[in-house]
Amino acid sequence: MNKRLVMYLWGKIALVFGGYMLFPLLMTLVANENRLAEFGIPVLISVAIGAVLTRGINPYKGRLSVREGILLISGAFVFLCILGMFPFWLTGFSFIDSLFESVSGFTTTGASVLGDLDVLPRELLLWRSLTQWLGGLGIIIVFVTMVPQVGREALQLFTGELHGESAERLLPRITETMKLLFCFYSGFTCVVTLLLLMAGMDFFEAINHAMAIVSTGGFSIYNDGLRHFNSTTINFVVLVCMFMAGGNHVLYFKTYREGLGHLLKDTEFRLYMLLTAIFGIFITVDLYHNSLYSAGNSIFNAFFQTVSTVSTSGFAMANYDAWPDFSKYCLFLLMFVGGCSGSTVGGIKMSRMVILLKVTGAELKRTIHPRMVTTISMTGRVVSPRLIDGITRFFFLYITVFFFSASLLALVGDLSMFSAAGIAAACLASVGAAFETVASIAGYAELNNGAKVIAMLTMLLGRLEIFTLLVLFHPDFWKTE
Amino acid sequence: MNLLIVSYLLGKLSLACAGALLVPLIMALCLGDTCLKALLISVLLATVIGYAFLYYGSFDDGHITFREGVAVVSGAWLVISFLGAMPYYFAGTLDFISAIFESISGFTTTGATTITAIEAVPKSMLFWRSMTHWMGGIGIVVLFIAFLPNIGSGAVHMFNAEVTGPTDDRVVPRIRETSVALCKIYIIFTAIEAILLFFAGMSFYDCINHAFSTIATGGFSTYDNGVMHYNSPLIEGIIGFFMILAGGNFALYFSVGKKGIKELWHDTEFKAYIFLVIITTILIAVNIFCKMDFTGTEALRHSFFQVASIISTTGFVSNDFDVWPAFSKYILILLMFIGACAGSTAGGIKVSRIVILCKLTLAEIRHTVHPSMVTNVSMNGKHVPDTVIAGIGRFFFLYMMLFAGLTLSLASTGLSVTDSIGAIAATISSVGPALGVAGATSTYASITPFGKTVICVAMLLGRLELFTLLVLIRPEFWRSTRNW
Repeated sequence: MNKRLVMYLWGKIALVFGGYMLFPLLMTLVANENRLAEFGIPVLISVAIGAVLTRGINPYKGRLSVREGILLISGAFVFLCILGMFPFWLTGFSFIDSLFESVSGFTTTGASVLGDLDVLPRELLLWRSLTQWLGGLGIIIVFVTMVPQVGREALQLFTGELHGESAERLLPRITETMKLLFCFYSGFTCVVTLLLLMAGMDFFEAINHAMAIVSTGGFSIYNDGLRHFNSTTINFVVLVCMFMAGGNHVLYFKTYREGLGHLLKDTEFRLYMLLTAIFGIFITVDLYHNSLYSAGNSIFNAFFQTVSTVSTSGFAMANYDAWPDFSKYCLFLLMFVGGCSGSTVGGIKMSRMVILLKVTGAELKRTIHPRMVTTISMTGRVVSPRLIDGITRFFFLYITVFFFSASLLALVGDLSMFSAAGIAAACLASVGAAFETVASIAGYAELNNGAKVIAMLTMLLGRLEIFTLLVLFHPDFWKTE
Repeated sequence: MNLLIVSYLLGKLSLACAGALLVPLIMALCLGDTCLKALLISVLLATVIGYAFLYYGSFDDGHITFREGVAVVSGAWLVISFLGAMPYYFAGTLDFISAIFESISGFTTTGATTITAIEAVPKSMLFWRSMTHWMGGIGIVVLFIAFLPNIGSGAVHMFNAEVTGPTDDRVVPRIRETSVALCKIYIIFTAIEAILLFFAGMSFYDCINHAFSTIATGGFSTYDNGVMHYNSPLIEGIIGFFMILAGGNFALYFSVGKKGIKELWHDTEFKAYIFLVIITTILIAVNIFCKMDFTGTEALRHSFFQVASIISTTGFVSNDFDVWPAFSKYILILLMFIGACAGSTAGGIKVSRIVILCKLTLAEIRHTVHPSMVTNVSMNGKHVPDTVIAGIGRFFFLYMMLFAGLTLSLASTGLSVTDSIGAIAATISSVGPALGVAGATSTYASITPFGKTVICVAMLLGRLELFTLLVLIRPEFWRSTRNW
């Protein structure tokens, strides 16, 4: 294992991260507040770590293999979460709470334990949104561009993507792709900010919410989230943007170049639209049937919550915890599914669901014709059996991890069954808001420390697609070849 | 598809069912039960339907392929469930849907009941209830193959469509002899348990009923509060032991009979099964000991009995586990999903599938570290073929999908989330008592007719391991193969 190369890259990331932290630092300076230390110290720490790690290594010597790639990605994630907790910690929150908030931000979960947000300094609120934005960007970059470098097999594992080329290397060179994705992601954020501004938010509100929407995170700067604005226009803008953020970003780029037909031909995107529509209609009917809202409001509320859940954002427009159980169960199921690959969403992801559904259909056919050879294809391309095996195993592992997390939460956190299941599903899929205790993202503050730690681990496992983190615990991983 | 032969076999089965119904009929005659008329009508109905099927069908072109096998098994379960429901319906004990529910619950060895006052039901009717368990446990088609004249080589397809587990393991080369061997073990176990229960203090009638119910991993009792009625550690111990025994692979017991007891410890699945029982018993015992006011032995006693009852998918209740802490309930739900060993009378995903899935996951992790490594998975020292492995992954996914879909349908009737999850988890794996409304000390009577239909589907799907029933909805199943 080429540990030095990994360290070097970690160092680079730390340096970039130090630069990134200058945003809230600048804001503090401009606002002329006496909060330099909260951001100044972490900047110094990051830069110092970065400088030490990058010293005296010739980066062009090594090549990244699968193992180094995995170590790099999971290490970097944990590393960023730790650096990102300092502003919270130095403001006076407990160690666990700060780490939780940071992990929740970087994994784009959006679960919050800070309690009353109104009393917090604005820089800290901005920092929360920034962690989500960077976490989201990191996920896209890692899963779309870094991963081909890590290797074919790992790529398939990470993204559930098809083939080697499937992460659809837009342009031959990786750095180019990275730049493009970065531009797309930033551009998307700007557009959302503008739309929110037009819908009636002020600039600070708009930029914070835009970052939370684009990264499918779910942090708001108000205690009551979007309900603070009580504006249909804003809710509508958020709804549309969340839906967009849950789609494959690479696909959008292709659509831009090749026309809208490309979007509609994509199997994954079609399932995404179909499932959103089906569950939206289910919930609409349920809400209307129980006469909770007028017909129009039922549709709007149902689709808002459906999209918010399937895109793993976790924004809430109404108190959905008071909805009938059928609607809540629909939302619970959607948490497992998640949005499309190639985006910032968590969960099992549409592409995997497509393949699993098709494979099951093929298995039924094979039961009738036992000697039949079946092939599975997605968007017109054949999926290799090796990949299918990987996906069914991922599914099994996902359900297993969910189960263990839920039962441990129930044990440690003294929660009811549904409450624990909700938290486990929401953290694993990086949704954030769940049911009962945590019906709003701020509800996480009521958990005890043990439950917070379990929730944190669940978030990390879910974000790193489980295998990436689990392989680190296999002894072979650390053996030299 | 050769519908004639399917019809012929279904006719024979209906007649066999009429024969089975004679047992409670004679009982009712001797005891002077009020349900005599209902049983008589049921016997006549079964006979008429049987002859109608026989009249339509024929056995001349007697070749049973895979399709006919599946059709016979699925058809048999539907017909028998219908015929088995008739006594409850004609006696006025239950309405039509509930009667069907009770019958399916009996034959699939679920043990979920809609009868709220069991002790008020005539004894002969309760005996029929336990009999449905006993016949469904080993498999009605397996019983049929074992007891009725040879139906030729095609029996293997029927056998495979009904017997549980990812692979078919026959104990002897010929399928009829395998069936006979399995039935022998089944009968011996039932007899031993009945005798032990008799000596432990049960009445003759009760011990037969409970032995039927235990060995079939069903869960029907002759009392409203089931095993709690006796409040006897000895009876709980005997039933607990036999529940675990019934959850083991019957084919394995056959080879134990031939080669000695050490065979048990060569079997990966059985070892995993026993290990699971021990671990979960300890976890739950500690959990309920800490969170509730049980003494140490009480905690261990109830925890062991409940674990044995749930993992073997029997569903007897010695203590209301609905009020246990959430963690214990989670463990019980987990056990519901896992179920017991392949080739047993239990439901659920089965321990062998879970073992293989866990091994595959480990292999996948190893594969990530060494991308060009070739990994293979073995059970009992034998390599598991790739098609079996692929099938298991898909089975798991399908199981979860159907579970989610059925739960959603049940939740649409207004049941709470936890209750719907519990009810479907308990019935798709043929356990019986669930959480909340349909909890340990409650019944399924309060669920709406639509909800009951959903649960009936869940029970049949779970018992026949999904694919047997699901292939029926595929159009190519019904298409003729002649034009190939």
